[in-house]
Amino acid sequence: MRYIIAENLIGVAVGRYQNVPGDAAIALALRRIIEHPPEPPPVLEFAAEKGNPVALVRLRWLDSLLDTVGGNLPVEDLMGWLVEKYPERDTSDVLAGFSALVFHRDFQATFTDGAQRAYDTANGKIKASPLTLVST
Amino acid sequence: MNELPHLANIFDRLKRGYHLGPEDEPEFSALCERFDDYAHYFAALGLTLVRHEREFFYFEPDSPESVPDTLPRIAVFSYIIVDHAANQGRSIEEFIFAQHFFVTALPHFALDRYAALLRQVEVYDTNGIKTLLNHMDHIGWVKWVDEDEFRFLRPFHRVFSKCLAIAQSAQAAQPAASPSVET
Repeated sequence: MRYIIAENLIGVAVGRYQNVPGDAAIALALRRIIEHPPEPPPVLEFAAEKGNPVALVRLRWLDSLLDTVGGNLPVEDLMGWLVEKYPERDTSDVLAGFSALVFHRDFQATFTDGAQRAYDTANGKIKASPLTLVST
Repeated sequence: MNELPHLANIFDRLKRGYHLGPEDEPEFSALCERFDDYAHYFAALGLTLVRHEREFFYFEPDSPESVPDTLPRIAVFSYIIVDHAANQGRSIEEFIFAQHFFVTALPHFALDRYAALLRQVEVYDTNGIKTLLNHMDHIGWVKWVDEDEFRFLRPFHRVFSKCLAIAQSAQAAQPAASPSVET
């Protein structure tokens, strides 16, 4: 059997311009997908907690007390003022607020001669003598 | 008679990377009847004519392991359609080859993980899918039957069969982490 190539085919070099993928290439492309599926990029958590941390909220509340009580001076009964204005605060918070105000340089605290009283907080009761707070 | 019928046309199509299948008459029948003659003829030009076990023809590439630019996209596209077919409750092969598909109804952007795969090969929307399908049409793996409608041709078995085999072996190796593919 003998063929005359030149009769039928012109520019054989053009035949090199094939775009047929080989079996090995097909397998390689598929393996890259199937055996190594993409993983979502890591999500960077810029905030350690989604909500405000409890301690931070408490600190902000304590800081805000200075301005709040400053607009209400003089306060005849500081403990009574605290539990009345912030009934949701527990004993620990109320005592922290009390201490912050009593020892702050902008205020002067003085115990009155009144009898000891009981103050209800969100989770307990505090017994204390009334204390007056005024501006220095 | 030594003259090979449709030789110029067969050569012209194969050299462009086209796969000749049953849709391509009369070239397909000519190749089926006288495969050895054609293969011998092309071998003289340094070209290897391949007769696939599924009965279609193509030229073996010069560099079988080199990955053409479009192949990763085709691979992702094919993997997604096979993965989707595996979840349809019927034969994957029947699902792929026995129906027409509408580009706008393809599952390729229906799931985030599919879209993520496509993004990796820079296919972002249905226009990208259409470009990809146009290329597959040029090499005889799919055929457009309307502006938005196509079907897979038999030579798509070159990717389809491998996709199934690799997916199944990956599934066997890591049953919990591999995509579910059933035959």
